[in-house]
Amino acid sequence: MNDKTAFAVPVGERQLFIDDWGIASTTCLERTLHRPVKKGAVIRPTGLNGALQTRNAPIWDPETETYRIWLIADGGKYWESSDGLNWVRPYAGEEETKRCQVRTPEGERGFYLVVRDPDDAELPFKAVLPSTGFAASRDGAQWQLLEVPAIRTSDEQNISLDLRRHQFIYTFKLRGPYGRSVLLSTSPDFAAWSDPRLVFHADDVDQLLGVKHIRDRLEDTSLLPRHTNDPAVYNVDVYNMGVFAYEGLYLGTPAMFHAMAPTPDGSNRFGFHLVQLASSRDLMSWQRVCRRETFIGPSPVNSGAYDLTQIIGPSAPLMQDDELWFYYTGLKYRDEFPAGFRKDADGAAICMAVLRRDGFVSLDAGEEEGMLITSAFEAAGTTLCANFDAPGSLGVEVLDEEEAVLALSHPLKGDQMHGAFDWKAGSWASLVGRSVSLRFRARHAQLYSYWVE
Amino acid sequence: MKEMESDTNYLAARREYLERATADWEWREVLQRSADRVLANLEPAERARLLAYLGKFSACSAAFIIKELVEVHALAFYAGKEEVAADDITRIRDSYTKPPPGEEEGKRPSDAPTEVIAAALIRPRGDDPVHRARVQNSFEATMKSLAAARPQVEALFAAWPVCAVAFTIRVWMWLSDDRKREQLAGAQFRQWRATGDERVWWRYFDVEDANSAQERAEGAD
Repeated sequence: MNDKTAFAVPVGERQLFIDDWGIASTTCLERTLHRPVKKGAVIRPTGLNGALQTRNAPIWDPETETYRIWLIADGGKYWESSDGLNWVRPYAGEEETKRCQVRTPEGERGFYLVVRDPDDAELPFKAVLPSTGFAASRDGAQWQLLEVPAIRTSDEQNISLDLRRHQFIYTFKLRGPYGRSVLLSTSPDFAAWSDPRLVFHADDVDQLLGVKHIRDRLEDTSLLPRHTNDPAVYNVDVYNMGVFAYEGLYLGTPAMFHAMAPTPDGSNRFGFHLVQLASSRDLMSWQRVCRRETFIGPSPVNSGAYDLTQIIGPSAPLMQDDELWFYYTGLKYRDEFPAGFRKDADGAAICMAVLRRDGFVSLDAGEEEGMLITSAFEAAGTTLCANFDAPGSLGVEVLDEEEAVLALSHPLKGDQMHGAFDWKAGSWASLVGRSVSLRFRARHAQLYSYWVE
Repeated sequence: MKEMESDTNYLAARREYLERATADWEWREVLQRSADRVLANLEPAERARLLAYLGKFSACSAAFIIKELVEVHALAFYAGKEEVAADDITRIRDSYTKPPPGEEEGKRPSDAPTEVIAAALIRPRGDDPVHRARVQNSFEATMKSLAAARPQVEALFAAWPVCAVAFTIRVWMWLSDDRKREQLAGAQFRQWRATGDERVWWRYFDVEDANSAQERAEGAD
């Protein structure tokens, strides 16, 4: 399946099964996409002008020991939290505004795309000013415009920081195949940016599946009814895509916009989003995950949820212990409603969904034994670990290049985020430096990842 | 010999379509199988007629006919449903094999010489009369903006299947106003004249601008 010579399992880097990288073969295993569990809105526009949106992830600031987030809003652009769950708006008026804008030659410019670089002691806070430039700050309160040329974009952007490679990842929207498409630029220092490249766009398969999604949505009485529907303008494009580094790969959360009808003036489209998952090893070449299944979809109407219609993913999740917290934008409406329809005044909020660590995709075995053989790699570390949920059992054999068994584990059971294998025969520690592959054997089990420590 | 040529045209159009449709190899197999199944389920005379019609066009533009064949069974195959109903291909028959010669895809000889454009504009556009009128008016405004180039563009469109022209209209109508449509059509025309590549008429230009800047930087053609 892969160029085995390039495969490595560095100590501490978890190997996920989102793509086929590092997998030599599988037998009787099914790949399953897991959706994060929705926890509802965590930042609501209570008492504010109607809508709060994010394209960011919350930032942990060790100096103030708070989480900080910058939002898209008329009021309530800046929030803080001690735990990531309970958020307050600590400033209003000018005090809030100054934290969310910077002076430019063309006047004050607001921003909402902020990351924190822990390796930059002088100006750790970095902000993108779409189509205007870039700014930085020592404390996230006083900002200065950087002398860095702007990157031209349309009206959707995301930013994240890959700490392992120390690389800022900026994705933004321009027109491409089928409409809204994703371009990407990277920078090691927030100053020199690579030339933007088209990396992700809708294709004919999205259009085929889009018709099905639209029909399914029209028939689903649990969802907010659609009042406008014109098959002549059905179209699926990529509204935006946050991209973040996760262990050895990159993940993206493309918000696939399903256009269903023209707006009355014809300048835009009514429709809804379904957030998918995509993966890449190099940021340039992207694969859809699990047959383009929906990663975050709409909540039922009358559930009190905000994400009834438009769902826009964050730039990155927040890692909290053994969970990934996704702060995403949920909007209730994008449609024309019949006379008499009463819209809620609070149209959009910051919602949260939680996923098990590494829990994007599992390889699942049922009654029949499932088997996974990894590509060969050089053994390192002292302990082999796995993240799994096995009501049945999960065991592993370490193989040499002729597939002779060098070590055999005791089977593990249960729901374990850090399951460490112990050995019935041989041991992992004795194999350091040898070229090995792993053969996992599973019954009634879901395997999320493995790694060495 | 003629049949062989027809098959060659079909294979070229199919290859063109699949390359443009998706980079996803698993899906390419599904799409190809869907197009081939439609062809296989037509009566020999129908198949010969469809292939002869397809053979009139460049592979680039005929790829849109393949797209219509693909759409018949692709979702069923994707869902693992291999048994497909005979009447699934009714729309293909209505468009390509039932009408008298010269009236495929809804073309009306009375609309000559722009019957391809006229047929593209009367393709199903939903029930909203306002939107239907907007498409008609915006198309006319965009064509008018081409000024002296308009006859060349009309001649090009006349040499395409109706579904290919309909896709150009779709691309134009994705934009928010007529000014942008006119800018796009102008850019498409200039690039087409410079390169001879018909595919520019089915593209959006922001991204091509960005990528061509990169290619220039890399010294690419």
